[in-house]
Amino acid sequence: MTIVRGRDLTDGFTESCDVVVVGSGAGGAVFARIAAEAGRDVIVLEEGGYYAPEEYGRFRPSESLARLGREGGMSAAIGLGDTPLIVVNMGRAVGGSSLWTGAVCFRIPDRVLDEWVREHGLTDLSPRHMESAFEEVERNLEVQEVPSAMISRSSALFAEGGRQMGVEFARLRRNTVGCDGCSRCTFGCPHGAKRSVDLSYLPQAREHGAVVYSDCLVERVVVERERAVGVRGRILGPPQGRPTHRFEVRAKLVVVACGTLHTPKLLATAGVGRASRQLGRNVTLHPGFRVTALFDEEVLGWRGAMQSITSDHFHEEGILLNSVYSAPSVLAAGMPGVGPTLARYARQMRHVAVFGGMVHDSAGGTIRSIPFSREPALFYRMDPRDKARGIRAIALLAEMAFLAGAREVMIPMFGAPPIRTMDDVRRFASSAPPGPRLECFSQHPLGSARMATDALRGVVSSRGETFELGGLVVADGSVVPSSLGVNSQVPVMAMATRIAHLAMEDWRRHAA
Amino acid sequence: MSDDETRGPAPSAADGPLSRDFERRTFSDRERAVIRPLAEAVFYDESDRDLSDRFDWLVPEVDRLVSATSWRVRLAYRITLSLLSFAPFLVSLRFCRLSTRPVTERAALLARLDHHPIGVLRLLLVPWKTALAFVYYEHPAALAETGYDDTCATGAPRRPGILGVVPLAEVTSRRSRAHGGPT
Repeated sequence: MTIVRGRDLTDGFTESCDVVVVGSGAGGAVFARIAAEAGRDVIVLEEGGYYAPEEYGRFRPSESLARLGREGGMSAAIGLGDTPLIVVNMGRAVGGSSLWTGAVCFRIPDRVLDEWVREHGLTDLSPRHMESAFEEVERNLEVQEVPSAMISRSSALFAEGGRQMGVEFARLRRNTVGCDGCSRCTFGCPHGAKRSVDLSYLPQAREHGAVVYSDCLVERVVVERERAVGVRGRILGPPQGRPTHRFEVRAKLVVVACGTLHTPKLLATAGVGRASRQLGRNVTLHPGFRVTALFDEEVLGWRGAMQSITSDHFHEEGILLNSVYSAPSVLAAGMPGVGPTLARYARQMRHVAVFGGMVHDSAGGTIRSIPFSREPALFYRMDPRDKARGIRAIALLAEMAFLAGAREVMIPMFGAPPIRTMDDVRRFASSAPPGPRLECFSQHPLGSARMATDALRGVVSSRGETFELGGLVVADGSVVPSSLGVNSQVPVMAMATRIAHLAMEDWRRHAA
Repeated sequence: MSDDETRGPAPSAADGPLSRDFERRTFSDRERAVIRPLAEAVFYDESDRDLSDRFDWLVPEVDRLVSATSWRVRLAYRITLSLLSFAPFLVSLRFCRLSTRPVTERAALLARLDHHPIGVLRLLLVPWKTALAFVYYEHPAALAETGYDDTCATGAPRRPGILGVVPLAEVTSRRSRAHGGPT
């Protein structure tokens, strides 16, 4: 793949091509590769910088946050009402959020696809129609089950606690090849084992001439005669990464894949979303919670795959359990107290296990542009049902930790002391803690330009084409019609695969 | 044991990244002079070791992390820092700055703030504790004290990179040959 680093350019540029793809993450990379393979001349524009795998593999986690993450890893959904502030992790670099995943690969569950057919009328998205897209993505990402040798002691304790509750865990499927098990996937794989799109889809586009420009902030879609004909923006250059030289890329097809938060902002520049008023709405987050447990034994939880086991035992309650881990610095930040108390807990890192769960939520998020800011604001009102699910998930995780032998459990609640008994868990579960006190995170913002059967219900058709403007396609997580309840990497890539193939099959219409 | 004795290789920007980094800074010297005593209190462990090397390194690294965010987040950090500098007032209605108090007292004040009955005040410390801990526990000496030993489940070497960065002129020329030239 050819990369042009925008920050090294001393002037702007004008280009023309068949397909311009805005965003180089899970959606954009997939579209770029399929379009390039179909013989189209493709340019990919990425707002973030380009760091080679051997480069980001050496970053400390905070360096990865600053260089590869959006908002330095501190993006957050602002909670409305009885809702926590939810930290939302997103990538902002060549490879996008695929650099940030725990490599977990789920297909969209059939029950969700069936719901899209039944309740949204999206008959093209039935399990049968999506099968080939899933197969293609899994083949390209080399998805495989986590080997048992890569299951960390932290995950094994999670499974042990679950087993004592009658909860079965299964091994996760991940897009890693030759994973060495160092539990830091979410800061960029240090061994190049994770098949993020900078190592899978984008290089595969290389042989077909695709070019990626990094540090290029696309500011608007160019519209002529009621059709998108290109994009304009500015290069983010030195010394401070502010917009500098202008660029314009004209194309027969404009593909927007900036992610759930930023796609609506770009679409709005083309007047898309006025008819339905759905643009920027219906955002789901999969609010996630993690419980940190201290054991007498040495856990050494960083030795093994960061995520390796899962259980959908509680899917009827809208809860998915996934094993998780993180960098010691991140775990230390969540430990209780300051001063000597914090130091005492941080020194017990070898005894720490982490258990995680996430909630299959309803669409409570709305995105709003903020004047003078490139970053939109995400507001999220958590449904009371989802908050109850979150508290239930925390209680389940804490209970499993004690059953596995934990001596102390830190629940994700600001200012809460560690708990030491099952009675404490029951007290927590029945206390109905206020939402803003809960510590909550999200890796899967989805749905701000959702797919629908008509312009009154959504922003794009089942082909990913915007209802209101020709020549404009959306191929990222924003098109997902409702919450998935599972990790979104493969689902987003499968949706983009389908959209890209349909666009290429229909190229004559786009090129006309 | 001195800090030097526990420290491995000095922290670096990942052996010097190949990509040019942007030079951003958020906090003024006056604000940095507040961040340092705040950090000393957050990580105070009742020992009398000289950890000044760690904090010399920590403050600009935290500035670099916060500087990667948008103006809204940076503003939030500056406002919360200003409020935290008046922690003695927020906790015990005393008119003095946090940075003027001895480190033991600073740590005690922050501990009380962390359990303050007023929710908003309790949350004041959260963003700062988070950013400071993200960086502080990456310092080799601090990281070693947590017990982390930087070992993977296997010890295989890293893979070579497979992507290539090229100058724009080369791309333009290549595209010109393939597609009849840029417009």
